[in-house]
Amino acid sequence: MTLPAGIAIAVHLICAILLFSSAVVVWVAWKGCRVLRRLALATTRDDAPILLKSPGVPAVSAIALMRDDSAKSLAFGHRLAELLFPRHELVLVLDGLDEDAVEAWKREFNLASSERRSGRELPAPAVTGVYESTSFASVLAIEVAADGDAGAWNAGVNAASSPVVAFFDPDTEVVPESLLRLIRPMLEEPDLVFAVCGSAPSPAEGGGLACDIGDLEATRLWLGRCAAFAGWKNMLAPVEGSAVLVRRDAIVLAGGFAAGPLELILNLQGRASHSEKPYRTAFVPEALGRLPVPRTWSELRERLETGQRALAGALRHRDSIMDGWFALGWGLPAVVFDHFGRPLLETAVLLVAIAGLPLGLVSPSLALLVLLATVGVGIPVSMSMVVFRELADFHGSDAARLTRLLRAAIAENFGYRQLRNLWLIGGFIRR
Amino acid sequence: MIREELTAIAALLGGFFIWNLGMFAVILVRGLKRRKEARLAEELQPVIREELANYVSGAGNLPKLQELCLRSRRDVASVLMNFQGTVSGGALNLLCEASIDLHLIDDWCTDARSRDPLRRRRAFGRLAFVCVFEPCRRIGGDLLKAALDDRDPEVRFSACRALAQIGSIAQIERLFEAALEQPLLTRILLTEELRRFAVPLCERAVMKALSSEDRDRVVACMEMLVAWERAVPVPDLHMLLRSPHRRIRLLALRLAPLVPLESADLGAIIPMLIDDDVEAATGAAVLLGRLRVEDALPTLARSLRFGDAGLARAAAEALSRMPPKGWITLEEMASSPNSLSAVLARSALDQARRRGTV
Repeated sequence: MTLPAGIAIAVHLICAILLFSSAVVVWVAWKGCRVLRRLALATTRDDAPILLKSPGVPAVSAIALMRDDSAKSLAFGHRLAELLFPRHELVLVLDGLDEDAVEAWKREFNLASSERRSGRELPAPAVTGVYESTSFASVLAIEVAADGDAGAWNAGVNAASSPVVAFFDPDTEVVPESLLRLIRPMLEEPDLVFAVCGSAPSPAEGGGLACDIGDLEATRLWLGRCAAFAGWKNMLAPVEGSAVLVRRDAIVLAGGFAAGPLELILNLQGRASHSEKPYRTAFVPEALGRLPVPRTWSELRERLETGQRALAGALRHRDSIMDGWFALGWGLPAVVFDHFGRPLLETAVLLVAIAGLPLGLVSPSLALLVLLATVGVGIPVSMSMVVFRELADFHGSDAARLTRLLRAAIAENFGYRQLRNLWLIGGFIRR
Repeated sequence: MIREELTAIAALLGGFFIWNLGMFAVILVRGLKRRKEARLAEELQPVIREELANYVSGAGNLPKLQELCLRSRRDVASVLMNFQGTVSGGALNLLCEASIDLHLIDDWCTDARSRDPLRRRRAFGRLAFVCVFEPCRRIGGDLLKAALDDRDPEVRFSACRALAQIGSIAQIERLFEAALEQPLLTRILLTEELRRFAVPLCERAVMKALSSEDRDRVVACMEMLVAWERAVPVPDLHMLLRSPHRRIRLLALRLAPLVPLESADLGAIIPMLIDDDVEAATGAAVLLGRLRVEDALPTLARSLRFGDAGLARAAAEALSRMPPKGWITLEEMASSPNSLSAVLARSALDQARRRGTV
């Protein structure tokens, strides 16, 4: 076989994979759209005001790891302390902080030493100090020596006194009613729902093309990894910006955290799929913690790379997750292919086409095929994301925003898409 | 070969692109329509609100409201519903009367038969609100009664809410019994609606539910009683405290502070301190401390000496609430060879003395 023939076969094969995977992406997004419509139809009543007053709602402990005393961390702590819920507590895990930082937290929340003891159900570093706030109701802070993510989270769960625990992404602006919205699926099916993930893209307002593309990225993530995966059995896992509610007994039964909340949910999903009972994780398609839409290209890159690092991190801990790669069934391999395999193939085939065309190794028609399988297919796929999101929403978006998104859906395929592939590959490989 | 491939792919992508463009056009039109509606609502709703406020205060101008209805019935209905929870008595009757005069209730009755679930739910929510007024009940009451068995849980809930507002005590009892069979969320929501009937319900329906053979029914009833947070008569609480089912025992402990306790009840609580179930024993210790039951002092001292850390702490806390006898026990325990008991006793005593000083 000659070199051009070999290249032609390889390019054909890659193009076929890219086209097929694009079709799968559209199918998954369509599934997400249908799940969102079903969820929107299922819950139209606002129960939050009644739930807020009800003593029948189980108590929730919101747990947050604090690794510094920066203004951002303090503000995050305040937002969690101000959550609205009938009975809740905030457990701040002061993880490996020096004396000055601990003092800053003590000042900020008027923390006083407490006699309260933590449980010891989960392996965790020794608690060196326990404090309770004198100015906020139910704020508990525990001081632990730095011992990695898993130990710190486990210490938080040990200290939590409620049957349900909540975790929020520190980069989000937590909505005060978040817990009231998240708890609903657990109240509907208390015996079967062991975890709830809530997320929705935040509205992007006037930030240029980077902002609109950021909005599209969030839409892709929401329709696919959130809504569509919520429609399949035991496939939902939190994404960036998600708020998560988990039953404490489920965490203890699973032996605690392997790393962060993502790994925990993967492990719980893996365990649930082996159970005889139809245990499940529910999805709440609401912006409970608003993750600001990236406004610049560097913010957009940072957001993508953060997601990739989280995914790669979860895979590194696959040995402590039940079923490892297959904790979400075919979900995790599909996500890895979409976030790493596909960008890699696309970049490779584009490079081959660009380099092979002047050298005569790639014919113009083959180069055109590459263009169709990458940019050509990308435009309608991006457009369909916007369409599906609108179809999922019974109220409909503002016409100006729709026009902006249409423009972004076309424009992102000329330059950004190729750059994004490099960012995704870099983010996944880099530790 | 490649030419055919390219043509096929281009045709597929082109078709998909055109479908997307078509859908964009549709959603764009929908977006524009919504914007128009939002603008109209922005313009009309303050006027409607003012007119309706005048109407419920008795100085209304019905022709003006009818004129506003002609411009946007949707906005008038929406503003009328915004008055929910803010008016009562005669003003509420006038507001409900407005829904008849403006024929809004007829719209809602029509919508209640719609196949669109969103429209039906909204209609039933509105009917449930206005049907507190007898003339409205004559129009929409039958629909609400039929909705008690509706397939849609939200419609069912609206019907239950309406019944909780207008029903006779016999109907309320039936509603309570139905609530016991509902999922936790619906039960929590109905618990709030039934709270004001706690005492009449305790006369018959609650007793019947508590004596049921069905454990889930008993648990559901006890959860509702605990959630009402009202002093209610529960004659045979000691039976529940001695139940073989853990959940029932724990709920009975939570219920105990809300119930006038008899000696038989206290006689059932004290032995719970030596229950194998640590949560039940700890709950009993907390409760006995809160009720300051001095008969429990020896058992509390035993729990402090031999119980696990959580139970021992609760026992020490309970003893600290019962001066002087409880304090004397704590002083004795403070010099105990059991270091955990000694530490907990000293700590509880110090805290109690500080509280006493303050």
